[in-house]
Amino acid sequence: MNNRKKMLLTILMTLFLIFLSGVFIQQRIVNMLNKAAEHSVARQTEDLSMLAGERFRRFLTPLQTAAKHLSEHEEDKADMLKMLVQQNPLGQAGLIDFQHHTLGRSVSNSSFPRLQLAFHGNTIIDYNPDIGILLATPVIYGDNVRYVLYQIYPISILPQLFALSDYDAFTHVIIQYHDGTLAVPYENYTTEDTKFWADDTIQEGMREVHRRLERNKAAAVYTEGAEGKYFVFGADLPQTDFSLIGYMPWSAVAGQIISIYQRVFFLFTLMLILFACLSIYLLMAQTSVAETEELRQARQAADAANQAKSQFLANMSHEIRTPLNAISGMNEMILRQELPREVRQYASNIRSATTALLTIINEILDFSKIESGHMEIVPTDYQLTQVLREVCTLVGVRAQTKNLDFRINVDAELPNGLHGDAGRLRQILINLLNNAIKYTPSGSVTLDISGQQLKNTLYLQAAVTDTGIGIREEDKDRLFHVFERLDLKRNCQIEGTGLGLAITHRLLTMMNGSIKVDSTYGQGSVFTIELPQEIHSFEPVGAFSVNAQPDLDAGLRHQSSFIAPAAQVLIVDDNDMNCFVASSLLKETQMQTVIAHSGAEALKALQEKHFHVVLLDYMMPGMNGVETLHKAKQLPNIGATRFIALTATAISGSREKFLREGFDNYLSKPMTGDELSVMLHQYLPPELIQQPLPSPAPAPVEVKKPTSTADATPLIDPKLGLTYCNNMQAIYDKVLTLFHDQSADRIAQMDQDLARDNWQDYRINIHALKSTALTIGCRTLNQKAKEQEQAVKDYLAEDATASQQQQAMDYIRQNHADIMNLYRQAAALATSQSAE
Amino acid sequence: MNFWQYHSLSQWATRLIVSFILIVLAAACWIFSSSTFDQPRPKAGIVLLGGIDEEGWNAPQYRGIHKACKAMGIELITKERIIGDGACTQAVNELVSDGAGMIFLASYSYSQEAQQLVRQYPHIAFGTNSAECHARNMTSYFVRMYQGRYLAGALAGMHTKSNVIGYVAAMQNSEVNRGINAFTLGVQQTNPAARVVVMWTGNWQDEEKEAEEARRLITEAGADVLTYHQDEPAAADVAEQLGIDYIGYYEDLGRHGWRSDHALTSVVCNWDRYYEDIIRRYLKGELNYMDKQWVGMEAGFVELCDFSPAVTEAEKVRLAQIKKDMLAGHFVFAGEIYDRQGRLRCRPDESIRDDRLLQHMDWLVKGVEILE
Repeated sequence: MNNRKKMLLTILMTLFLIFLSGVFIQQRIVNMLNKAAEHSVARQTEDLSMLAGERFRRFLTPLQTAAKHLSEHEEDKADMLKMLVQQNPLGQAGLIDFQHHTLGRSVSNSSFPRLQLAFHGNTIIDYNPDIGILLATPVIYGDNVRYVLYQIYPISILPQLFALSDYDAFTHVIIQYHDGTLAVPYENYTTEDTKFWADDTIQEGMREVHRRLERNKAAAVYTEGAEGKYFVFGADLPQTDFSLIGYMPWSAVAGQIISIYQRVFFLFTLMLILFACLSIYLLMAQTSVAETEELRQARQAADAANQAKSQFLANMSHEIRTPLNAISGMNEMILRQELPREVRQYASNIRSATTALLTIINEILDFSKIESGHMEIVPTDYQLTQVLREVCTLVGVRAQTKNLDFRINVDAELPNGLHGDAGRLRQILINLLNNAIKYTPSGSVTLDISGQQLKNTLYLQAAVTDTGIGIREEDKDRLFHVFERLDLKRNCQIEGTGLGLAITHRLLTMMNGSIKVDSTYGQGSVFTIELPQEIHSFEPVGAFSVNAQPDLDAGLRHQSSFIAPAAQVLIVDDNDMNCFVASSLLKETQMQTVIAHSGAEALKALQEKHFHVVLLDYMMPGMNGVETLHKAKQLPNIGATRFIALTATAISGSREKFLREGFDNYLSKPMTGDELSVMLHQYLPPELIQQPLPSPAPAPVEVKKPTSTADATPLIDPKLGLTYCNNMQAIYDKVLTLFHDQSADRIAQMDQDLARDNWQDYRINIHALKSTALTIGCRTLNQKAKEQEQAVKDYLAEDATASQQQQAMDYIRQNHADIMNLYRQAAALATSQSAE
Repeated sequence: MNFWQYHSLSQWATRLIVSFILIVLAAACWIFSSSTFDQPRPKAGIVLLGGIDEEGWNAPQYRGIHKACKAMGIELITKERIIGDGACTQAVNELVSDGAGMIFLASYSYSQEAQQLVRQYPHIAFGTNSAECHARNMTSYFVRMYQGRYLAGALAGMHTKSNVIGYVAAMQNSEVNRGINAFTLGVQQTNPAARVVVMWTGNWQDEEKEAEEARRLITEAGADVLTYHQDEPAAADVAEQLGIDYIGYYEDLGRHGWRSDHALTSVVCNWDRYYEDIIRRYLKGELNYMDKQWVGMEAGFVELCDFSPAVTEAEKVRLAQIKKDMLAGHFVFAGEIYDRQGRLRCRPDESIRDDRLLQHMDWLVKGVEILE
């Protein structure tokens, strides 16, 4: 703006200067043109003066002829005078000698003082304002002048004889005597003319003419006054005391000059307009540049701010995830213990809280990624049914806890093998379903999967129908707005970031999909998405069942139930807690873990020993994960070592980035023990992996018997077990398997603890047994374990007397074998039950 | 490119355009402010036989033309001490190449040499003191010094006791003869009995000869009033030494103050007014229209300078009357005039015309004696 003002000022100043110089130049041009005209008029005047001189000489010629005749014939004096008068009746002729004797027209020396100069032998012209003009020439005899022959022309006839009015129509010429008296006016000279010549401007012009005549033959001056524009001019007549003066109108002289002047003026105006146009153009250009710049600046600032925000979010996510990792890890450790019911309840609350927090962080991250354009769509081939199952597994649990009816209908004709970003599809479906569950207090949530096939593309349609609170018509438009939550009064108790639908919407847009909403306020809503996905396999989905895929669960859960005592794992993380979490999570696999707190330590450890898998944190002070990896890769004998990145920075593209850098895979913190186990199972050499069962080899032999004895009464009550597993058979199955898998280990552990009087550990294990027994539905074992635990507690109680301790000790030792036997029987039963 | 650069670029362009426009305007103003009609300052040159500080002829010439040029605003180029063969030609050539439009050959002796030179430069206006050579672009300039001589003669006639008046003259030519004749006619006007004795030195500048002849005129001829026609006042110095009255020529002899009352007066010419007149005529383009410009007492060019106390009031009154008559038409060379040989040169009702006076005054009036 300031610039614009400056620019405007510059233009105004320049225009002003142009105007000034225009005025100046115009003035100069006028002056120069007038000077040029003066010059040419002066030249004309010079010619005119010669013409006038010539006119005088014309009248001198007969005089001179007569004088010549007289100088030879002195006696013809009277005749000569007569002849002169005859020839020119207007001139009064006379003859005078040196002694002033006159013949003819008498004359006195005083009236024509120059007359006597003729006696020097020169022809003279004299003027007397009262008498007229005298022309005289000497009559010479030998060396001497004897007479002067003269003719006098009276005033009245002077204009007739000498006026130069025939020069041209515009020019008026007067012949003046050197004393300024008017000798010969032009013929029609009137009082008007007298007035004209008396005008101040004209007088001033004439004075200038006379001043110039001091040094010039002829002069002309331009005057501009009351009388108008004129050139006044003057010239001395050669060899006389006369001068001619005159005037001519400016237009007569400068007629052509005017046209030149007008053209110049026109040109100048044109230039001025041109300049004005140029200036305006420049100003506009300048302004637009400035505006563009302002916009650019603003955008850059916004971009920078957004970048900073994204960075901040990424950092925050890291900062939050790291402690979260510790919390969830530790919590998981807690959950693995045998716990009193309330404590377990608290711990599982912590778990759900951390999970929820993680979801929120992920949502915010996703959103910030979308916002900053960092969100990437990574299409891969996937099985539709698999995605749907995963979704249902997750959502089903939620729906169940809210006592909602969750239904899924899948069009059997849909092709199963699709190409697209399965992860994002899963996210979208989970978002929509979670939303539906969130806002549905009672009733059902239905997922309908259908689609339209067009050539190689499937327009996948997923409709989520709920019987929830619905959306008001006026709120529909704001539905996908960021951070906005509708109907706040009613929904204030519903948790969430408000980002879910916005993310869904944007993800869909990124994948060329769309979403629409139909809703009846108070009755429910239908969210329908349509998403084009390429088809890579036309094999139909067939009849879809959520539980029809045990492989997944097996895959998910089973890997955790392996041991690999020979496996060497290096955990590299600068955060002690993280290291502890990781190593704790791995404890049950009996792997040999080594902990390094920095890249350098890790490298040192790698040099010393061979590791099968390295869990390498990305964010470390000093050398970061990637640098450490690169250095490690240069070490000898490293080829067989697999590297898995651990990161709390869940920025999109991380996986690709880590893989590109040379990592074999990556885990996002906070990680679960299962994720870690699955990952390790995948990357450890197969020969190192053992099933835990065979290891306590003698156990099954002992177990077999009690198993048969226990056959009479149902040792395990599945119904009871299922209630602890949210009535999900799959989970119960997993729990049973887990129970079985852990049993040998636990028994061995407890035997050992008992033998070594390791009462604290024994108490924890027996506590764990107490709860797990109940989880599988084995009340007997639960009861036994409870009693045993109480005994241990009694024994360990600080205020317990020695006898009490002894009593408790006896009880423990008495019952230990029974409990362990019962445990083995239950474990054996659990395998058989889960195998069903 | 960042904002700053954009900004400065556009500002730079604006400045460029604005300054371009200003330059164009300035150029336009400059073009129109310089007048095409200003003519170069005219220059005049003068060639002198002696130095510009030599009293007599040269210094008054230089002073006159210098003053005139200053008054008329033209530039003067002076060539002094131009003596010898070819020196005048060289001086003229130099003056022409220096841009002089008008050249004065301020010595009678240059006229012959200049004759050819003047024709070589038809666009240059020449002025000469000689009446005896002519060219289209040369004007003979001289002053009617004889009018002053006539008055001086009248004073000498009144002042002489011995009735012998000495006259040291350079050589016989129209100019010198005219001076002697006018002087003698003046003497005869006031003292018909007085004689004018002339001695010829044969040279314009020869101090010894001049002094020698002046001494002879006084001692041999018995002159008690002396005058001379030379470039130097050597004769006057002798008269001063011998205590004889004398009348100077060209310069106001009393000007320096050391001379006594014997320096009665001098015939002088106001050279500055004279040159001013010529230069004006040159500038008006009239110079080459006419072959002679001969003015004198009526224009105030010629006069007698202040008289010494030795001149009486009666003499002064008489001189004033004579001067008045002259201005009224009493010509020096008019009326009855006989030469030494007794030949009638002018009838009583005649006057001798200027042509004759300037070029053909090869006679001396009756009453002039020559001392050999």
